[in-house]
Amino acid sequence: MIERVWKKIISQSYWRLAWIIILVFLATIFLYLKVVPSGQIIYSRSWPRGLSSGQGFIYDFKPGERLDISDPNRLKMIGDPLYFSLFTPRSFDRAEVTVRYREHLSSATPIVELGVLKNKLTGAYELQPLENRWLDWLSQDWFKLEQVEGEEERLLFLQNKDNYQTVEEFLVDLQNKKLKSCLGGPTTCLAVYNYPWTASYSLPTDTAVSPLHITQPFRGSHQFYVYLPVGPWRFFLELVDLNLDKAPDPVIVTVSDNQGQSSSEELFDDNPLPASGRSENKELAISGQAQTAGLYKVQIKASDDIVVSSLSSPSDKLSFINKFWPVSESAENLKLYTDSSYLQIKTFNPASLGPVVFGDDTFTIDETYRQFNLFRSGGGKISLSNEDLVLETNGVFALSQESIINPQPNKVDRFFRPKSDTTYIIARYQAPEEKGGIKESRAVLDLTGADREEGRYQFLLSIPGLGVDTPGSWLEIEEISVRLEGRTLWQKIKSWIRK
Amino acid sequence: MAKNKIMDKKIIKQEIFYFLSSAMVLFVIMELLWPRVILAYLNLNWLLLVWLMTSVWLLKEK
Repeated sequence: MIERVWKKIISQSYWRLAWIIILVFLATIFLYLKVVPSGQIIYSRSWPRGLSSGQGFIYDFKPGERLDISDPNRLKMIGDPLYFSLFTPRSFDRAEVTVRYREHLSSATPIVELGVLKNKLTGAYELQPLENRWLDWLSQDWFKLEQVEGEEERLLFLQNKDNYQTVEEFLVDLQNKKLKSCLGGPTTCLAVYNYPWTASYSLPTDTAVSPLHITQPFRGSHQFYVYLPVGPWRFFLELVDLNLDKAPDPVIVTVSDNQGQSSSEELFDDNPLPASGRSENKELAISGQAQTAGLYKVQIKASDDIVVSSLSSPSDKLSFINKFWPVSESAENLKLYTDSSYLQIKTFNPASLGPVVFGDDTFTIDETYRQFNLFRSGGGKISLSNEDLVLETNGVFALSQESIINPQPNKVDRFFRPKSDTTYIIARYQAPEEKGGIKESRAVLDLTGADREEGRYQFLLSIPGLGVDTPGSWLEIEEISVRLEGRTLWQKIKSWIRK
Repeated sequence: MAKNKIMDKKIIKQEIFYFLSSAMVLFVIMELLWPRVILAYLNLNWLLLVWLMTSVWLLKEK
């Protein structure tokens, strides 16, 4: 009897010890994967998915209407842009995203980009190229030079005449603004892609600038170039918070110069009337001292719930960069000017449908939530007969022809066409590798300061132009692999000790 | 001897049940503390299903 009980205890203890060890081992593994002590980890997802039972780290591909759902085991993108989430159990500093894909894209959609959400308020994504077929095509016809920058980045330099033998030689001339075979200056004969180069801009010293008061209301985030002479400056904004959504609507205004010096002002929102539809009037002023005369960049970061009802600027040499969203009744017969040869227009408001004059042609905006691409013949004048239209371009918008300021060179975007005077292209870009019809491309994204909500980074896969206007075009993703890098556990402990 | 074997089997079944119950509790607590830390790798529904099957099996024997 005693022997039997003793055996039972021994047997039970043996089994119990065994499963406790297994459980501790499993818990340790999951904790290890949660903490990622080495600071490096790879998460991936492939299609079809296989036997994996977990929810995975890369998920929530949306919106559904931009996916071909005829085969649930495939991820076929048919509309732009496509959003997805990356869950990480801790924060990281850097993501190296490798995408393997097949594509059936037309010449109307030559660009594939990947981005991470940097600012939830403005919806700003940091985008990096996966593929730019304009550069791939021109790489075959033009003289091509490459330079490796650091460990990761590759600088691609294309020239249609064999003027430079090294990239360095070109960069020195670019810095001095004296490019070979380029009489009109770098902005006329240079095109860039994913390369931050801005020409310094100056007006003749005797050019008079006068204060400007813009009474045309505009909605959401905007940025503009403004020419400021030496001396004090002050911008004053009258704002209307529409309170159409629940979230608070802070407004941040940043003024920065060419040397990277900036000052900013933030207007907090206590959000007393969330989603009430009752508007609140607010004001924001920012002032400073311009040490040097030149071009300044002003960024207004705000949600689409905010309307800037008026803007007072110390200078009338002012151009909105890339986007202008005029609202209110006074937008009727609004006249704008752009330096770009194309214009993208969309509206969310059925009352805003109607004709738009761009250059010498009249176009009809007859559908909401659709992006219309207009190409002009003639001058860059835009006449709007309706309000509430989101206008976008790769150039600038100004309220008068004389106010157009754009120090940016031509961009190799989807509307790029090499002009007769385009002699050079510089880009931070590496063409994808192709094997058996599957392309593999890599994008390195900086995650410091990226928006991470409930452990999720928000990513975007963009093929500008893909949608209803490009039937039969698609991109099918085979695999997304994200290699993350961040602080090690030891570095984290050291930072705690220092605190 | 045969009795011992039956007893051993019963112990194993019991211990599997205890193991699955403890794993379930531990994983749920970890999931509550750090959302998605378990679910990203393992679907807890499957664990719950195995646990239920073991429970029914054990109850049937009793």
